[in-house]
Amino acid sequence: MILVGFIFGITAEEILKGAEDLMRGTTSVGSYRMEVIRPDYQTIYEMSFWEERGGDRSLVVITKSSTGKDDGTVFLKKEGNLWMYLPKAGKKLRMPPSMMMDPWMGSDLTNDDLVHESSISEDYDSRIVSEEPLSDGTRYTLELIPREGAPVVWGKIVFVIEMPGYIAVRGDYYDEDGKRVRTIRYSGVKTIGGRRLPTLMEVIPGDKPGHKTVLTIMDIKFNTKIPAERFDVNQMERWSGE
Amino acid sequence: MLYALMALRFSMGGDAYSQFTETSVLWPFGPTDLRYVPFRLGQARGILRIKAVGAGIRLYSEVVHELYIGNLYAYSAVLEGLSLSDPGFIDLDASSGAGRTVQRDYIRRAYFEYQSRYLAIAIGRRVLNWSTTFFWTPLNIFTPQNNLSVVPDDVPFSDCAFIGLRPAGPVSVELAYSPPSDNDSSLAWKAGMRTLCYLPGLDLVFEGGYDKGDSLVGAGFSTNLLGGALRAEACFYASAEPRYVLNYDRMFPGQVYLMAEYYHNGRADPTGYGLYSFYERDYIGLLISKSYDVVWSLAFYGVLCASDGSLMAMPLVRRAFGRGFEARLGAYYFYGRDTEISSDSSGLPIITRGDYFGDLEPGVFAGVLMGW
Repeated sequence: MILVGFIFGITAEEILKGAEDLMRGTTSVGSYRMEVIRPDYQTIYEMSFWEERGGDRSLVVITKSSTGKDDGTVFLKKEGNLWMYLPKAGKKLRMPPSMMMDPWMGSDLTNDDLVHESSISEDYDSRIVSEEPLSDGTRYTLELIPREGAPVVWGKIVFVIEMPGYIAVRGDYYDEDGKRVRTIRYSGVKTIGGRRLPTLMEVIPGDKPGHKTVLTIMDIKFNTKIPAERFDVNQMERWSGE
Repeated sequence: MLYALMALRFSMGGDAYSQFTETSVLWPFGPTDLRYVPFRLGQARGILRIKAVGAGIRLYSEVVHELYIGNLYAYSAVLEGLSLSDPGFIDLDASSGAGRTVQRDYIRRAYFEYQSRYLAIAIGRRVLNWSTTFFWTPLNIFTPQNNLSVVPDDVPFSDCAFIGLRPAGPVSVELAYSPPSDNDSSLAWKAGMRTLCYLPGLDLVFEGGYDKGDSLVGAGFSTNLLGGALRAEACFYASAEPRYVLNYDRMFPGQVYLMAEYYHNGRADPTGYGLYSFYERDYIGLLISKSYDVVWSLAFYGVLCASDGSLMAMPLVRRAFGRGFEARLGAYYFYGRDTEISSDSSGLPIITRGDYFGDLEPGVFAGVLMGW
């Protein structure tokens, strides 16, 4: 299969990097809607985000939550540091870095998933394990194994990506024992922010029936210049009230 | 101006909370005759939030309705507490009652705020929190908070004027002034200035101010340490010993959160609202919590008076339901020895000897919250 990919002039690395670049850009600005679904519980958050890939900076503002409890909460991540502003308590504080890889707002996503700090194409070695012809292209299945010393949490990732267009369809995430821990399904492909990309991401934990987090991109712009003040700790209160 | 007003976007929200508490309290039947009596209280609170934001302007208000229904002792204690509370210069508080019920309507927040790149100004009733620590907050002179309150979002307010200067760079300066309320003496005004400095890997704060008849200077820092966050604050007073606090918190795998805090209180403040600032002692606070899939949440709060070994423990279980509902069940327990209690000139019980937590009875509480 690796040979097939080579003959047609595309490698697993190129597909993976293309899919990653499609979703990220050098900067991205927009808004998400996140539904956290449990067997007998559901909560919804709407948030705005600003992400600068090169500078390792991101800002997330919860604009609306279904309980109203978290409205206006601001998360700022900059160069490995994390701050949170809680408008109800009038408090801005540095957060433990250990919170970065924990479920974000009780969802099945980590903070890292949301702001794409780490780069999958840089942290994993990839290979094409299968390809399936489609009426208008090819569906590739890639296997990703972490590079030695890479700061990652997954033992293996299997991605399904459709070409042309680098459209992610599905990702299966495995732990170091080879157990599938979660699946991400991508759908709702449409042109948004000048790109044709999946706008719906369903994150399904492997061992929890009825649990799901659905992230919908409501609006996104890529490669726009973000003013430095957007990532200034001194300005966090300002974004809370926007 | 017209453009700014037209740019405002209005929104509303709120929450409703009800709780039942069962415990015992000391009751003065005479100057030297104090006895434990049952304390049963049902309480409900509704908050309506209205805000308008746009063009750097923020108008925010919260109107609160509270209802208390209790047995004789709970009713009397609530009446006493409410009569001591004072709404401040935005005096729109109104209360009424019949039988053993008390109702109260008041404005909990009402402020105007303007924020731009270099300047922030605000005036009105709001939360102004200048601390980063949890149980004890020595630098938080304007809106002291009790983070162990069994009622959710039980955050008081300050009537104050605020200016923030944010020049480009890591440093910002904030100034605030809060006038005395009608119940306070003329010396009870508060004023403060603080400088915040966010350096790579280190947050610093320097504060100076005047708090109810005493001037103070303080400093604090926050940094990352061993995957957690280390925070410290110290406050030095002109006419009292200093207060200082050291805090560390960290998230562990499996959504287990741990926070530990040490506090030295060199300045007794019998009128203080913050947690356990009444006596000059050393304290240790501990919070361990674990969340299960956002639905269940278990928390344990513990406060130890390091000076005498007495302690308070509070387990709390929360269960979230759909559509913004949350149920809470908790208890508190106290351990202390050799307590002797008398009553002061107004008939209120005071500890004359013994451990810090020795005079309090255990209790349980259950509540339901609905937010939108």
